[in-house]
Amino acid sequence: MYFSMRRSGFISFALHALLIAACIIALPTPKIPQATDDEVSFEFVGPSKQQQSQFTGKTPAQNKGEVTHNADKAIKQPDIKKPIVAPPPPPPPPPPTPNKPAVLPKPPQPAPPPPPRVQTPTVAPTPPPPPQKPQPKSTSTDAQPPLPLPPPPAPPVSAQSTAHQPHVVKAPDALSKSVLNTLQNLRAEQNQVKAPTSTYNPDADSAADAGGSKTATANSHLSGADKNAIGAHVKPCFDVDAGAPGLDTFSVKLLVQTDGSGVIRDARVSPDDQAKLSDPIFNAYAQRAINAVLSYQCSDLSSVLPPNMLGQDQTFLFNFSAQ
Amino acid sequence: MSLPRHLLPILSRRGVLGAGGAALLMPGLARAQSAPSDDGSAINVTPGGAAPIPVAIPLFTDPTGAPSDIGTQIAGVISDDLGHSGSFRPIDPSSFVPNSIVNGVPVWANWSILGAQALITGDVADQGGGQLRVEFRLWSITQQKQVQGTAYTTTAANWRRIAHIIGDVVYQELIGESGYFDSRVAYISEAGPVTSSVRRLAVMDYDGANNQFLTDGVSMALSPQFNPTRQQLAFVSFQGNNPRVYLFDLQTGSQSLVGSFGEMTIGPRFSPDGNSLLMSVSHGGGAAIVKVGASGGGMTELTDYTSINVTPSYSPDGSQIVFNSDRDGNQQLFVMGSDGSNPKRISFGDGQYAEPAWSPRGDLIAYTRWGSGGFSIGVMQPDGSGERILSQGFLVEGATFCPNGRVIMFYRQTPTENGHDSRLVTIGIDGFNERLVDTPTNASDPSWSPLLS
Repeated sequence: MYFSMRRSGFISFALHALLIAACIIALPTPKIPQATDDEVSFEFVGPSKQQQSQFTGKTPAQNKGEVTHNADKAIKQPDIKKPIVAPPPPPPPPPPTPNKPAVLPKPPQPAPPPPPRVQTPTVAPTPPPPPQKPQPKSTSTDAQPPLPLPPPPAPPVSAQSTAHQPHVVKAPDALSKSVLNTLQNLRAEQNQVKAPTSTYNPDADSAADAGGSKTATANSHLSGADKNAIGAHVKPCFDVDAGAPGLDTFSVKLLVQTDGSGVIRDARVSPDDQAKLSDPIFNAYAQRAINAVLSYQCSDLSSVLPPNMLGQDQTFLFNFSAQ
Repeated sequence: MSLPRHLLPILSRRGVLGAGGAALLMPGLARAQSAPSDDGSAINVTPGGAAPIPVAIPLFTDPTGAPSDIGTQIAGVISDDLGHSGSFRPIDPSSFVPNSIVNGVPVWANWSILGAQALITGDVADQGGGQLRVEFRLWSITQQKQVQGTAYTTTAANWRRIAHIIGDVVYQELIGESGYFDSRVAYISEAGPVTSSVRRLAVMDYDGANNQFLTDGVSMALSPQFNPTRQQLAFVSFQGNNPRVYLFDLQTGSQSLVGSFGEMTIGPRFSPDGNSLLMSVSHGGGAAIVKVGASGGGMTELTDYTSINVTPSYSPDGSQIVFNSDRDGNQQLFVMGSDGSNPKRISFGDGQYAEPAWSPRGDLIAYTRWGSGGFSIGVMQPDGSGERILSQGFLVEGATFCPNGRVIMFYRQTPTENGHDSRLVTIGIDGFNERLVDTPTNASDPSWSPLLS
C-alpha cells in the first residue's frame, strides 16, 4: 500500500514536472517592445577643406557653436545609452555681434563676385570661362543679370619699332626709389592743395559731428511710390510661418545691398534687430525675410528702382512686418 | 489684437480709393507722392502668404556617391516627414538637374532655379558590425551657405529613427521650434466584427511605421496615454469586465493596476512631470476627477460626484486642468485650477463638447464637438475664445497634440456596409493638410508621445 502510494506520488511528480517544462518551452514569451532604446550617437560635421574652397556664398556660415568646419576633425560625441535622453544641447549662441561672426574658426571662402543668375540650369561645374572681351553693361535683361563690371581696359601696347630709342629720364631724382625720396613724395602727396570736396552725409543716422553711421541707406532718395513698388515686388517672395507663436508681433529690419544693376546681392539684419535673433522663432522669421530678398524671383529690383539709383551699389532699409 | 485678415483687403482697397480720390482733387498731393521722401523710412514688406518652404532632398548616397538603398529610404522618410508638417514643400526629385552636387557642395544655380530655399544632402556609410554612419548637411540655397551638418552612428535597423531625427533638425533650423518626427503614437487597434471587436493596445511611429501590438486583445483596452517623462503608458483595461486604469511599462512589458477606486476608473491623463495621474472615478451615477500618484497611491478628489466629470487634461505648466462635465445640463468644457479650485465653463457654442486636450504649447485646447451638424474636431483658446472647427465627419474624436503643438491627430470613423472604417488622421492646427495615417487595422484613441530625443 505504502509503495503503491509512493509510486503514484513519483508518477504524479514526474507528470507535473513534465507539464511545467512543456509550458516553459512551448508557451510564447511575450515580446517586449524595445523600439525606443536603440543607441544613436551623433557628431557635428562641417564642410571639409575641399568643400570650403568651393563655397561661393556671399555670407559666412551661421555663427553656430555646434558646427565644426572640418569633418575630419569632428569630435565624436559619446554614445547615448538611452534614446529618451536628448543629445547634449548645443552651447548657447554667443551674443550677436553685428557684421562679425565671432566663433567660427574660418568662414567658408567667400566668393568675390556673387554667382551670376542663370536661366538655364548648369549641368556640372563648368570650367573657368576663357577670358572674354569686356562687354557693355546691360541692365535691361531680367534673366541675365549684369556681369561684374569689366576691368578697365589695358593701355594699348604697341609693338616696338626697330627705330625704338631708350627713353631719356630728364629728372632721375624724382623717380628714385630711395627711402628719403619716397618720404618726400609721400609728404608732398599729403599736402592739401585743394579745398575739401566732401560734405555732410544727410543719410547718416547720427549727428553731423558724430562720424556717420554704417547703416546709412539710400531710402531718403526714394519716393513713397518707389518704396511701395519695391515692397510690392518683394512681397510675393515673403512667406511667413502662419503657425509661429507671436507672429502678429514680428517685424524685422534688413539692410539690403544692391549692385549697380539693381540686383540684391546681400542682406543682413539691421543692428537694431540683432538682439532679437536669439529667439529661434524670430530668427527663422528673419531668415525668411532674407530669403525673400535674395530669392531668384525677387532679387532683381532694376525694374522698380528709379533709374538714377542704378549704376552703383546702394543700401536700402527694408522692414518686414507680419502685420 | 490684430485686425482679422479678411478685413485687410477691404481696408487697403478703401485706402487706395481714398488716396486716389485725394490725388484727383489735389494734384499737388499727387506730385508730392512721387517726390523723394525725406524721412528715410524703411521699405515696408508685408507677407505675400504662408506658403511652405520649398526644400530639395536628393537621395542619400554612399560616401563615394554611388546609390545606396538605405540612403534612398532615409531621403524618402525625411521628405515624407517635412511634407507631412505642411511647413515644407519637398520638390519633385524628377526636376533635379543631374550632377548638381560637386565634391559635396551644391551647384547653387541649379537649385535656386528650382525655387529651392533649402537643400538636404547626405550619405550613408556601412561601418561594419551592423553599424551605419549617416551624415547629412542642410544648406541654404538663397544664402549659399551650410546651415547644419551632423553625422549619426547607429545600427542599420535604426535607420528610420535617424531619418526622423534629421527631419527634426531641419525643422528646428528653419522653423525655429522643435520638430515632432521622432515620436510615437499609442492607439487602440480594432479588429473583427463591430459587435465583438478585439481592441488591443498598440504603439507605432508617428507616421504608422514599426507598428507593435502590446496587448493580446483578451481584455478590451481603451484610452491610452503616454507618460511625458517615462517609457510608460496608462490605459483602461476591461480585465474581469471591470474597467480600470492600468500602467504599461514599455521597457519590460509589464502591466500594473493603478489602485482600486470606486466602481470603475477611466480616462487617465498624466501630469506634465509624469509623477501623478488624473482619472475619473465613477460612484453612484456620478464621476469625479481624482488625482493619484503614478504608482497608484494618494488619491485626491478634485471634483465631486454629483455630475459626470471626465477626460481631464493638464495645462503644460501643470497649473490648470481642462475637463468635460455635464454639471450645466449637457456636456461642456470647464477649466479649473490644478487643485480643483475655480471651475469655469469655457465652451458656449452649439452642441456639446467633450474630450479636451491641452496643447503642449499651452495656447490651444482641442476638443470634440457634436450637435445637429455631426461631429467636429476644433480648437479654442484656454479662455474659450477663438473657437475654430478643423475637421468634421460622421464621427471624429480623440484629439491629441504632437509634441510641438502644431499638428493634431484624431480618429475618423465612417460607416461601411460591413460595419465601420476607423482611421487615424492628422491635421495642422490651421485646419489644413489633413492626412491619413496607415495602420494595419481599424484604429482609435490615439495618444502622441513626447519627442524621443
